[in-house]
Amino acid sequence: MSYSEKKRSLKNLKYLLLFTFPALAFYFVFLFIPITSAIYYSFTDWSPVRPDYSFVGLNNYIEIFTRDRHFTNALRLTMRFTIFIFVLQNIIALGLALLVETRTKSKSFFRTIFFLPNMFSLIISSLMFRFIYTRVFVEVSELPFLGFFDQSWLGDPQVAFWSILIVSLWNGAGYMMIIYMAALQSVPASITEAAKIDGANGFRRLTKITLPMIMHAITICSFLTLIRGFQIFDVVFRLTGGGPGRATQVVALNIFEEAFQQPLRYGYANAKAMIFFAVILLITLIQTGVMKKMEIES
Amino acid sequence: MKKIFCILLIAMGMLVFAACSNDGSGQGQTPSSGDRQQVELQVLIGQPRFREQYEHIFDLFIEKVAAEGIDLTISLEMPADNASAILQTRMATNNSPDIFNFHALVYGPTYFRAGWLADLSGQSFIDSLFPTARDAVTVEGNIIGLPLESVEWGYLLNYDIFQELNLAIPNTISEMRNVIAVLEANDIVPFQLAYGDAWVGGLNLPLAGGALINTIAPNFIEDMNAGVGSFAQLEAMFDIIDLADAHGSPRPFETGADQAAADFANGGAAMHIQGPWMADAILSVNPDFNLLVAPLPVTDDIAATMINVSYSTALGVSSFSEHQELAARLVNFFLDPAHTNDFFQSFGFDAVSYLHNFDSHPWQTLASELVEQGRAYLDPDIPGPVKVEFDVAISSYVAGTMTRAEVIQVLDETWATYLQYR
Repeated sequence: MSYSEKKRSLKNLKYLLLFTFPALAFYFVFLFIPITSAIYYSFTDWSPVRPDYSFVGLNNYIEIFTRDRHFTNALRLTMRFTIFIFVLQNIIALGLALLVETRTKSKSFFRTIFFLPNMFSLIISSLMFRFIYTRVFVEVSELPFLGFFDQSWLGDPQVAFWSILIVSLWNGAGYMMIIYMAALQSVPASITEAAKIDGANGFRRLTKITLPMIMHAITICSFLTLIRGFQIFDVVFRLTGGGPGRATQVVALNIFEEAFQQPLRYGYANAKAMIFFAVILLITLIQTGVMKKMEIES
Repeated sequence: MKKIFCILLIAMGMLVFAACSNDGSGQGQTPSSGDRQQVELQVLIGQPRFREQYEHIFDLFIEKVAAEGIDLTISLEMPADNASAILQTRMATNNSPDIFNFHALVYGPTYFRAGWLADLSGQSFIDSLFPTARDAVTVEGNIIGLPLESVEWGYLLNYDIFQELNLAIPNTISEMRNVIAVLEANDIVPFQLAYGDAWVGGLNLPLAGGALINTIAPNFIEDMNAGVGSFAQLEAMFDIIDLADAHGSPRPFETGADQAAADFANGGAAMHIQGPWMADAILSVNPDFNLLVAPLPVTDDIAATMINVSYSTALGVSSFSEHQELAARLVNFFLDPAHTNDFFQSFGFDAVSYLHNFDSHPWQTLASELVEQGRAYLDPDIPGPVKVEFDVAISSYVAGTMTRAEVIQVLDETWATYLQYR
């Protein structure tokens, strides 16, 4: 590398740092410091109601894996929820995007309608659905042929899981739909038209042309739904509070409970958060790796 | 370019430094204006329904100290939800309010041992407190706060239903079964349930559990704190829980405390295991409701059918406050002889002091009589985390996902963990 090239490269680096500095500073203060602190505290018995704390090594982690059945139950439930939200949200969002894309004049209308639930915060959505599950469905069930609405939507541990899933799907599918719509619009019409002339039916055009060509959007949406699935908190907090008992307690809620409602074990709660972080990191790394590979193949 | 870069670097560095270096040392301090002292007190109270009352009291206190040359401003924060979690987080991050409320019996000892509460032993309000009220805010010989909200409670009756059916208030669990049979024969739902808020189910611990602790298991608390006890000693409390659950209102997990109060007020059930703190909610729905607080039968021993005397809300002064003296004066002001009757009546709280000479609410008549007869006990000193775990466990139990043995086991484990962190 010549002297002038080196100088230019250094200058570029300076510009890069200059323009990213505010974001980096924000990231450093609000993410890097808290995360590194959390890693440190996860090896302590820190509790705000004790004047001091001590280093306990791996004790918190050992206790989580050997004694804390609530955490393992919550982890299992969160994984189950994430699998369902990952599959269903992507199928529904892609289906909606394909349907809306077939419209011409009414495209904007349907796009707005399907995106609208995303405008509500999850807390508001949960409060609305709480009313629907506990009041509206009770009235609806009294109508002829609609008796199946008479469920304990939030009180039955089995049904409550699906009630939570419905709210999450209702709220999130519209956002993914927009991403899929943008990707669908980038698929050249000439290719699909050529395939049509060659006699490819709708299903083959979808599987052989459209899906491979929007694989980058599938990667993004898969990543987002995975992360959102793991991070689920607001809906459960407002809809069931993790109940009945702990039947719908997800990991984020379990950590919240450990830190703020139980004997205020901040160190122990941090250890749980670290394990959860590692699980999410591992799964998303695998997911993005696999999907990226498929993108290259396409 | 270099200059801009350096300036930005320094500016961001200062911002980061300023953001990370707030240790609260400057909190509440404002410069003096002439001879007058300017003070700001931060107050955190998790009772937003009483905002008007608190603001009125604070305004009177501000007027009082203004005459002494103190320009006081009070920054009042009233979180509607998770107030104790907010307080604990603020304490952990060295951002303490000067005054805050807490549950005297559930959190008081923990907060005091954590060093968060100033000792108010020298304050004038102490001499006027009823002995039970004083005991409720005494930890290891120190006065940790001013008891504000006291309550004599059991369960709630729709007394009109009892009178119409000529039913006597049950004194034993067998009598309760007879009452339930009569109610159901008349198509009346015996119990209003509200498991939608787990804490409502959790009331069974201080009520049914508390009654047993004061009769058949007098050493329960000591045994648990010594690590040799077990909730198996209180297993009899499950009988009344099962009974209420088997004869309760429909969709209990979809009914929260407020909805249950409204349903109860509208005649939805004859009895409700809930405290008189819901009286306002019930009477606002049905002002003609004939409410009565009665002792909950737990066993066939009438001696165990008692009223729980509890001191819930207390006001404490932070040991980290820079204005402890003024904060303590403000806390004292709640028992100012000239105003305290008005204050407590405006809240609707019961008397806690000899200074209080107002009548109790009509629905408290039976409870007060029983307290006078000695058929009452002070809310047992069960650790907060155990109470929280009980709320969840009993919810699982009535949902059918936990057995009695599992509930007992998890409560024993929670108490043991609490002992490690006490």
